[in-house]
Amino acid sequence: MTVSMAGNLLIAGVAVGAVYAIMGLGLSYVYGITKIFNYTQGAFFTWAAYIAWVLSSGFFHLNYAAAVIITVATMFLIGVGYEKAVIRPLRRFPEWQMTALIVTLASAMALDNLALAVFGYAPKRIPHLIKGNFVWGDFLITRHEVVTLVAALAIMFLLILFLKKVREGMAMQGMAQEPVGARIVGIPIDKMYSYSFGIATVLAGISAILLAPKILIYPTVGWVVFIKAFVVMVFGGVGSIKGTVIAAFILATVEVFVTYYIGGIWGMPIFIAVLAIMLIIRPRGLFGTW
Amino acid sequence: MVVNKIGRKNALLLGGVLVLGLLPIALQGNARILNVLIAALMWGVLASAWDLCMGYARVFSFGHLAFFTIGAYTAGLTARQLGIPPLAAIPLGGVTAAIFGLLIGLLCLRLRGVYIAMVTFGLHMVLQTVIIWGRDITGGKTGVTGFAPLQIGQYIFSPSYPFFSYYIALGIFILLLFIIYRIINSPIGLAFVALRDSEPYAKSLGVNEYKYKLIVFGISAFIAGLIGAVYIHFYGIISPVTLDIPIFLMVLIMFMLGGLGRFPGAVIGAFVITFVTEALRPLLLWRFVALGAIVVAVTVFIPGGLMSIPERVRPFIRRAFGRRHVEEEVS
Amino acid sequence: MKILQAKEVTKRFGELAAVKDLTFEVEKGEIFGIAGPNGSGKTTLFNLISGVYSGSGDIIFEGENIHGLRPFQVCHKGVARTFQIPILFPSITVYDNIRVGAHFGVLKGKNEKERINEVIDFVGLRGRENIVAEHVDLFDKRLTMLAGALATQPRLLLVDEPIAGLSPREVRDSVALFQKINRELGITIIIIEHLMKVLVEVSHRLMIINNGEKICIGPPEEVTQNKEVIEVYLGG
Repeated sequence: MTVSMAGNLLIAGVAVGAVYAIMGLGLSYVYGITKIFNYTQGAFFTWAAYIAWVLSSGFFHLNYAAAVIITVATMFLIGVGYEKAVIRPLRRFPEWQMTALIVTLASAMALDNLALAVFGYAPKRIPHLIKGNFVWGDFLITRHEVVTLVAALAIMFLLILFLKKVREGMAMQGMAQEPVGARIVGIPIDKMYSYSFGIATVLAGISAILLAPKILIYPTVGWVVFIKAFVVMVFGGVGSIKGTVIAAFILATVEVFVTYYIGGIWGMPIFIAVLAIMLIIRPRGLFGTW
Repeated sequence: MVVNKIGRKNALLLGGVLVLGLLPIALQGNARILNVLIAALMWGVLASAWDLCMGYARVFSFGHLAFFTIGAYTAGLTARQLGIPPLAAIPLGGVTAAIFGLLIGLLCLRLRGVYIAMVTFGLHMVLQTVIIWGRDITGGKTGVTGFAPLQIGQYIFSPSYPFFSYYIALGIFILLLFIIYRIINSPIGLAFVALRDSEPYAKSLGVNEYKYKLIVFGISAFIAGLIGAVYIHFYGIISPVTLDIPIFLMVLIMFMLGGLGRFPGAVIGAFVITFVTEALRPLLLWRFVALGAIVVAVTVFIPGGLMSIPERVRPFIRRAFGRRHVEEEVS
Repeated sequence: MKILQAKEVTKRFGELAAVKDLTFEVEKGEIFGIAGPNGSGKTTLFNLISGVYSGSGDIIFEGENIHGLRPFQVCHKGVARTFQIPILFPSITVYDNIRVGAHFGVLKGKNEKERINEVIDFVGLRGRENIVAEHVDLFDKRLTMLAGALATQPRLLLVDEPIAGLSPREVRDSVALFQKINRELGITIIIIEHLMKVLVEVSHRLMIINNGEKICIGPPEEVTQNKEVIEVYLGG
């Protein structure tokens, strides 16, 4: 393996890792606050990609920047609406987190198949945010990848800020640690739940906009990303932002190398094998706190 | 009172079996409905085995469709490659699935809840990849056909002989459901429920939680694998289609709808869902959208499942008829 | 004869030592009371003895170190416990709750039904044994938990705050029941309680702990006269 080849693979790995990190943060964030493992995150990814496609090349032919902004805003509303319509009614029952797992899985299937019914099997494509590359000697990185990286770091930073500083963020963090206490102190739980779903859905939307240009959009595209994001979340430690981001970069880099040298079909088994080993050695993940 | 209650439940179960036994005669051998019923019987076994794990032991397995498929492929491939007769291949499928179940159980020993769901779902996905990748042996996406059918004389266990096949399926169904029923009512079932209701308390009373986690994985995977092997013998084809998410959800909904941990709720759910999905067939692509919506609606509106309806309705009826049920329950 | 010896038992949660260098002995056949303010490490100590946690130091039961065994193994050695919150198995009957202890708590258990019925009569649950556990009242929940523990045929019984939330009459009944268990079944009891009055009444010897450390140990009359105890516990 030449140095430049390894370097380029590494760059690609880091860029893919950034997307997994954003997606994983969405999952980890919802799980940390609501203790719901949200299967719909993958379907939201798919739908964000389709919405971006409809707004841009597919139908409305909007300016792409406008399309991106509208997509993100729509995703927030979808997330909040989903929590209010589907998750909130479940919270009346004991053991509702378990029911929620199945309900989110069912919603994911309904949404995936809705995408199939509406958009059909034919894959769609959305444009890169920015075209062109940066070249430096033998190393090459696309501008889109640079944007992806910057976005991932910015989101991580914002989430950390949000969790630490902002008042509502503080309320959310308090709730993750002590749901009953949070209720007594008078933290508006309903609001926290729907906001965290809204934010997680926005993260799914952003990952879709960043990743979809590099792959094709099809009705189950979100599943693949979702599963990888899940592994990232567990590997890094549920609830740990730092852990999720580091795990995303490690796993994505491993995946890129495996794909290049052994074959793409092994990407997923490697992910699962890594997960299994991690769960045996250290079930709480790299930086997990539970 | 209690003896009376158990007696009533057993009587209801026997009545249910009797109805199932007479159905083909009542339907006058209607092939289409009988074939749907056969599918419902097989799904009922899988859903009940899965419910043993999810509902009774509250071990969050998402791997039972994988165990089903492992049983199916083991039976199909050994029958085809090694010429093993179905009567040996089917139990072999169960045993292989049980071995995988125990291995996954070992992996999950120290894990809980959602984590178990993901490790087991990991098996599901790895299996899908392995089947597609190992095309030369497994037949890839198209699958494998041409293994010896389950046959008695001129009758073949297949959709072409619905009347005969129905009774074979019913026999297997009764046998496996009886095993599940006995387990639920044995000390093993008591340990499952104790660990589910309160793990720390159960452990303090001497229940070895690791042992019973392995047992539940082993038993339920065995039954899942066995019925998987039966399933492919009926349809004469094995393919990774059985691992598709809609099927995964369909089985999950069966015991959710019937009532988690409420034997024989999973069977009732299996019959309802099998017929509903059959009825939704004309919707084509929209079928799974509808199925998903049904799951969401069921879990939101009847969280305890169909089996909980009598319990929920009883107080209302009593109030309506003015009976004082408190005294009756205590005495 | 010593039934239980704790030697320099310590358990830390991060920085905080919930139980610190605790050394004490429990005589066979006595009722040994442990008191201390909230968060003084009483329940942590029970969790260490019963195998829920493991820390450092030795916990010797009948001459054998049981520290680090898993809870079900500790139970099989002959140590049973109850919990502060009556958790039970809410979805099954009182009888089946007790059956869990009778079946799994005893290694070669014969006459399971007989033993369950004996325990039911002993604690006074007769007539309520077929009610689903979530529907019985708090006192019966406590009795069920105690009956389950007794069904494992222990030689040492750990009882964690057994009277919180009970009526004065139920408190009296509980105290009588503990004395009966101790006297008639010959079971050694370690009891954690908050209410000094009850503890003084029921225990043969008393240990006071605060911040995970032993303050004093001795007969109740002596302990209640101890200056330090009055300061940290009764005074506060």
